[in-house]
Amino acid sequence: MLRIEGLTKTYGRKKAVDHLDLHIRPGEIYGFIGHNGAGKTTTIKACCGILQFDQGEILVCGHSVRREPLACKRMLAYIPDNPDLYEFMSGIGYLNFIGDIFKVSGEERAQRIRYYAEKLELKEDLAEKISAYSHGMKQKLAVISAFLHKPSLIIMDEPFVGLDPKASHTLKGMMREHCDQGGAIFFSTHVLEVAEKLCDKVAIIKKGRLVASGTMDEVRGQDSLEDVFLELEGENA
Amino acid sequence: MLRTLLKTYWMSMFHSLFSRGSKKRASRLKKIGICFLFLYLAGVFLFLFGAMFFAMAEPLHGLGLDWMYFLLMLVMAFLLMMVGSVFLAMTQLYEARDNELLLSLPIPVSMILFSRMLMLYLTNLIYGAVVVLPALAGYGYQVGLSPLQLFSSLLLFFLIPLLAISISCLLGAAFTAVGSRIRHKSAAVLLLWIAFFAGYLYLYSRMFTGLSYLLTHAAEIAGLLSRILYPLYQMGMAVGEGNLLFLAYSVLYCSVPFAAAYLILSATFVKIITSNRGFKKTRYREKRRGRYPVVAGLMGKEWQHFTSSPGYMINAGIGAVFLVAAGVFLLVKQDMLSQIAGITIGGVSLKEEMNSVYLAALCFLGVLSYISAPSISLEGKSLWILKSCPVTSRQILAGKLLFHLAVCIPPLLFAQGAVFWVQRPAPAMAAVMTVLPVLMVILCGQMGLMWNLLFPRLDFLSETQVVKNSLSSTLTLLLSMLFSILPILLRLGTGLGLGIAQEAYFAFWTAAAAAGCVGLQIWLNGRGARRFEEL
Repeated sequence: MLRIEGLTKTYGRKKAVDHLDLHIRPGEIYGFIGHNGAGKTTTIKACCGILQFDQGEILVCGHSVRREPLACKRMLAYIPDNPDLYEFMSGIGYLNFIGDIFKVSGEERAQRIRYYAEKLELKEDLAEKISAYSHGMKQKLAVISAFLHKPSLIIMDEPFVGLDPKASHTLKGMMREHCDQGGAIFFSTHVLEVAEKLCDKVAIIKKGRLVASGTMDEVRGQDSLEDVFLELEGENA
Repeated sequence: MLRTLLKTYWMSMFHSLFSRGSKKRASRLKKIGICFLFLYLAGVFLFLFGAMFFAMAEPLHGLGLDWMYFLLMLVMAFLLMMVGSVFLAMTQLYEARDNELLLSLPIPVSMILFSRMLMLYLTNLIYGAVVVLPALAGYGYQVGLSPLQLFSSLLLFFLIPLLAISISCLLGAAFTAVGSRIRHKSAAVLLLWIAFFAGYLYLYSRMFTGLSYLLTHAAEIAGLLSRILYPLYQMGMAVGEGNLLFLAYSVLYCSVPFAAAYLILSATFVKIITSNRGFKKTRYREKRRGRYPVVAGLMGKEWQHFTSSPGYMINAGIGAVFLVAAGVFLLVKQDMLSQIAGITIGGVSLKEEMNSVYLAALCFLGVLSYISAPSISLEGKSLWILKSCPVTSRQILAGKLLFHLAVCIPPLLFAQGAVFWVQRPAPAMAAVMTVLPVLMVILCGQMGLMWNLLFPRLDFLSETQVVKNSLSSTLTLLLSMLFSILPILLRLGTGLGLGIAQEAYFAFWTAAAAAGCVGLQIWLNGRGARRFEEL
């Protein structure tokens, strides 16, 4: 579903991502862990075609992000760490905009908006301007817009930040449901407990380099994910 | 602390002019170019006001009404400051994006307010300078300035902006407070602005009649002013006659309102900027909606952005309002316009060239809207949405250009209809008069996109800053205006092409404009699209 091969991205002299390899298969929830500035967001943005990279290859469902960006973007949805949405639109206006761009038919769109908005308890607020939304409401709207066009791959950067416990629980259910239907999810998080409980696989990145990856059992062994993460970060647990 | 706040605003303001995006800095050559551009603009204003004051200095001095000369100088400076800052105060003080951030920091509210008012004060000083400096030069050259007159006028030059910002900040506070309770705030602000601007235009249109009336009835008006508007009389006398007591009063007239406004706003600033809307929540009702084509979706997004931002509509869309107003004016006041036909320029009677005049007016009014020029910058931090969508950069740019045209072309067609109704040009000329203004509008839209791709500004504090003060907006407006009047300037100003029939002459310019449109579109589709991807 998503294959990253030798991804390298530099900012000036600094290597933000250094020869990163990852492979995310259909049905997998793949967690991406690392300290602040480790290169998670850079990797995620490169996968979504938002950021141009220096070396390597990224394939989404077999399509190259570099050569066929539109084909890749049609297959994926991206939720950024800070949902800066169009504040001048209403919630429903934004969803309709995304629906138009992703060519979702009127009937399917209405059905999915109803389903996801009810699930995330945002339906009553959809007519309001996004500028009046709280951070959590914007995050919920970004989640609905991501699921709206039934992407094969969903890429999320810190998706649980700003969500209340109930919405976080709902989102986890939606993620699992998506993967059970053959989709895949690649997301970054700082909440190791979430990663531990939710992810099928996990990758740890440090200073742009992949330091560990694999199934949860392969990465953590007998320890907790937190112990492994702190050990890899060079600190005592 | 104040220094830090001022530095932040200063950097933000200059960043919007000199930066290329959020990461790249402008070259020295570009900086020099920008400085020249602003010097040119200042020069135009200095020339306009200079010409007016040079004409008034001697007659008023001859009548012993020097005080009225200086009063006019102060009033004109004040009016220009008001026009420049009344809506700016609203956006800079109450709608700035960093308001909440600053309020969360251990900075006294009064300090935040003071720093913002200080920036407005500096802006107003610039507005004031373009009136006061030529006025002083005119008087000094023709009559001679005494040291006391110079001292008084400079003192009031520095104090008049206090009065202007007191009023504009209080008006801004009132608009914001009322606006937070109006559901269709943008439309309300737009209507208010149109009313304000119409009033200004009315006064401006009467200015020259008023000035000649003033010069012929100067003594009578002076008597009236000294009786009814005594503080104004005192201000004029403070400078004109060097009356120190009146100067002291004038200082009070400027500083007391400022102190009062500052105290009132310090007490209410937080409440105004944090007040919630006082209307009921809109309940969502499901509606069946069909699927729109991608470009229509992109245009719809632009439309929602445009109509939700009064600053964007007022500044970048004003040409559309002018076109409609001009069309209506033309239909209603046909007789007045026939007087223009009697004017002779460079030995050429405008009666023969009325088609050219109308054509130039259509082109000029058509390019006064520069909606596309800030449209890329206005994506701001939401740019990721478009970049993560399966749409090409070409489609995105096309959506922005088509929206520009969708707003500008219908009013242009209405104005063209009015011109045809009044002027009834021959078919060949009618064809040119139809096509050339449309091409000018397209060229303006394309140029706006091009300049914005070359000088994007995505990390702004206020949308108005990007719409009004960015380099892309300024360049688009100035160059479009120049291109729109270039054909008639050459024809009537230099006589170039007068030997050629109007139809042929303007057909040549139509072909040139069409070539320009094609060239710019090729650039937008190629390098422009790549630049967008790099943002």
